Amino acid sequence: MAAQWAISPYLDAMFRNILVVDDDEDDREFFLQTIEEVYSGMNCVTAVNGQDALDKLRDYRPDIIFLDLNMPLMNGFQFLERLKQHGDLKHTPVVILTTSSDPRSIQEAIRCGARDFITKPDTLSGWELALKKALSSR
Amino acid sequence: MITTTNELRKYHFLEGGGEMGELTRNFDWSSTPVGPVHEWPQALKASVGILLHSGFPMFLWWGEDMIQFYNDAYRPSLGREGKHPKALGQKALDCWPEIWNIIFPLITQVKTENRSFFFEDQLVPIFRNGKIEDVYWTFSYSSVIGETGNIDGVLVVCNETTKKVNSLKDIERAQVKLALSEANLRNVILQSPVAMCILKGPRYTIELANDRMFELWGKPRSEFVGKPIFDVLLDAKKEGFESLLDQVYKSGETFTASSMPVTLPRHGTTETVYVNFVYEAFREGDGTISGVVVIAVEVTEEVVSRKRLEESENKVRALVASAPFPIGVYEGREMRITMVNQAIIDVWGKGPNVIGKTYYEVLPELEEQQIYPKLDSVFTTGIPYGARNQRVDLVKGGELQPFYFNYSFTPVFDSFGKVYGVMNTAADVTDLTEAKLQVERSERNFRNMVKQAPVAMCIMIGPEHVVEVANDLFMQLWGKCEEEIMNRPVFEGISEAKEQGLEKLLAKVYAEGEPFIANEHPVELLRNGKYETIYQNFVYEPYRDADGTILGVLAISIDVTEQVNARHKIEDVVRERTESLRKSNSELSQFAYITSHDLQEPARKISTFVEMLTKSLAGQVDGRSKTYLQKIDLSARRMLNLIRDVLAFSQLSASSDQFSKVDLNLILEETKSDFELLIEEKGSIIENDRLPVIEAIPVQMNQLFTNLISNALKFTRPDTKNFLKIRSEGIEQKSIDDHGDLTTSINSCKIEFIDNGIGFNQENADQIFDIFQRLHSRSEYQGTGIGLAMCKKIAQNHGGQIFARSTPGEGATFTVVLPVSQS
Repeated sequence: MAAQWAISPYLDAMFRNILVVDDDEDDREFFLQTIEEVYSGMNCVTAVNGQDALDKLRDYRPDIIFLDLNMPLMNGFQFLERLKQHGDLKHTPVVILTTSSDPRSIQEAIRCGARDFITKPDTLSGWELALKKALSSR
Repeated sequence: MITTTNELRKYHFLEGGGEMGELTRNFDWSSTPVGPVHEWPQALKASVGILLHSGFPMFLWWGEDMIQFYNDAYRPSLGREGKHPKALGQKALDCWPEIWNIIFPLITQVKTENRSFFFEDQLVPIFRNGKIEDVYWTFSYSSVIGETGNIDGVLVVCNETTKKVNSLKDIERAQVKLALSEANLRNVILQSPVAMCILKGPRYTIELANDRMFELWGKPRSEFVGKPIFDVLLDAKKEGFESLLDQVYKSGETFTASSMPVTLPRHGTTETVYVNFVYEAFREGDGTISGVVVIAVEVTEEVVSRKRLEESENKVRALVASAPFPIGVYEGREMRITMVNQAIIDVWGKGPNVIGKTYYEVLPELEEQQIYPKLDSVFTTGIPYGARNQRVDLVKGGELQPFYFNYSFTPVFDSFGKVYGVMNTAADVTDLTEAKLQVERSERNFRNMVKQAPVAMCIMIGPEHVVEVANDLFMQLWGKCEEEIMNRPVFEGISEAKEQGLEKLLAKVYAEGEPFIANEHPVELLRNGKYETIYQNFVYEPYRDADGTILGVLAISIDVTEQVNARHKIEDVVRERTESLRKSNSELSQFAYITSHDLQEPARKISTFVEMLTKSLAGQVDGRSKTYLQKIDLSARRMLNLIRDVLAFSQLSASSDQFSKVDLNLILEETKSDFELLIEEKGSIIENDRLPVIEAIPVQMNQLFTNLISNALKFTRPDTKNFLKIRSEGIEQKSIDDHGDLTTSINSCKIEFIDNGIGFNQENADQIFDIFQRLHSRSEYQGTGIGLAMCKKIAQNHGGQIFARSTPGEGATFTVVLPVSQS
């Protein structure tokens, strides 16, 4: 099924560098594995919370950020607020990763500057589908 | 010396002679110059003898003194109470002083000249019958010559011709009269103010006619002269006037005609004129009819004006007859009925034959009702009389019954301005008056009802709301006694009720006439010496008269203070309970969310890791291990579905900010798109009507459509091509208020999802909407048993309904009714 969603040259050019911010190790693993398996050649940096992400962004410039909302130390909303104030990075597209399609959280995140959201799938193929959708909806 | 009878008997000349013979014989002649009879000269004796025996009236004067003798024939000429019998033996001068100047010259001539005189029908007035009478005589005076040759006496032979003379005079006068009357007749005819003529002979030649007659005939005199009349008046001949004249001419009977039409020349043409005329036979002296006298008067104008009058009278009669209200005309002081119309005949109810009777005869029952004097007064004074809503009792069907009339008696004047009758017009207002009386009775009944009502009632009149009627319950409600309240403006009586908004309410009801209803309206009143808040359910109803004019306000009030206070206590408890329930609900909801959210995480990971494990062990596991891995995967997935559905169900709320315009066509398209693979796989056909745009929560609409379409795709019959029809129509949905009553109708849409799947037993139609309710085993049809419960909740959240209809094996219809607008 993965072959069906072959990455386009356009996507290659647009999203070469990815930042994934999620405190859940398993989810980071599902994400990385999907990227590795389907989108080889992409740089994928991970962070465990908002603060960690900000730290990583000092010397890493991602083309797109995947962001969990519910995290310790600095949650996704706080991170979005901080990102908006960041001169260079404030236009970086952010896609929210959420465990349930809680409409209020998603709406709030989009209000804070997020562009899209992915409900964390429960299969690998689900992950592939979701990431493809997210990466093609620039 | 007295001559004795015996002596006289020897004088034969004195024998007989009737009365005068007797008187002459018995007269004492010796006392007169004539002397006793035996001394009388022969000539005297002879003369007296002739005289007494003559049947012709005779008279004799004898001697110088002219002593008188006369006979029975002369006697009547002396009349009664005149000169007889004194004249016998009397001197002429003594007897005839009144005519002495006439007779003395004659006597003297006879005596001196011996002449004789003869007079015929000479007037010699004499005294007789107590007066001087004109007496005519034919007489002769002749001498009687004595023995000496002297003229000793004068003999008068006479005859009274008074009767004859008078007869002659009468004849003479009659002749004069006749001449005169003939002349008069001519003059009468000629000068007559009416047309007159005399027609002579059987051809009616005009002998005499006056100018008026020619005017009537309409032709000049010259055309008629000497001609038979019908040679000139040809039309009149044709109209039968000649035969009328013939009748009179032959029979002598007078013919009289009144207002007879006749065609006569007028203004160069012929016209019908109307004439009153008389044809009278013209008789000669011997009574033979020689012609006809015609007397005529043209009455054309009178006839025309009478006809006009009749016409106008007929019009008046027609007017009266056709008038829809009663009219009668009574003439004379006795009030004789001369004109009535059907309406008054009906009102009286005495039958149609009233004309000619008097008012008093027809309506004797009015004797005691003071109507006769009024009628008479109008007749005598000429002043009209009118009455309104007057009760008049009339006998109808043999029974005295009350009626009410507006009526008038109007004097009717003749052309001289004199009252000759009375016109009676009337309007039967019995129904109206009875209705009015009924209204008054109802009004009284109503007031009594107010007084006796088992709820507090009062009537306040006018803009000041003066309390006119109030029952005891109202007094109790106000906590006042009658003296404080009655007949005063209500806010004077209960001054403490002022400025609590009631004045405005009352004023509005009084001004606009719209009732006002209040429930549990609080009013602070001073009752039993302390201020209390009273709750009342009340109605202010405009109080109107029969015409609908607002007179005041009717207040009906129930004191619900106790109930309200009790309810307030209950409400407080309910509020507390509700609040705590809401809190626990919220906690529960939060709990459900958190648990399902957090439970989801491990389930999701189990599912993913099982997949990864299966993948990494690919080819290295035996059949049994593979089955276990599949069972773990299935369980994890079912757990995830369950958790997600519970989560979704717990999140179904209906806060107003979530509503927006939702195009259900787009929702349907999205849903179809989500199920695209399944639809394709099952070869399902979905047909739909155009769906409406409604005010709704978009996510919930998505969930609703998803669940219903999912069911239709799920519960299919393996042997049948799956078919789903989505039908839509606009309907009016009755909304239901808090008390369970239907109130307004709401514009709604009804959407039916009609499938041809396995269906279900109708007795389970309600049950399927309960959460976790399943009709089939999980192995047959997958599902959590939450979908339809969600649909029901969503429909309720939108103020709508959902229900299902089905027969096993014949498909199912799910009907959703949703309001178009949420306002």
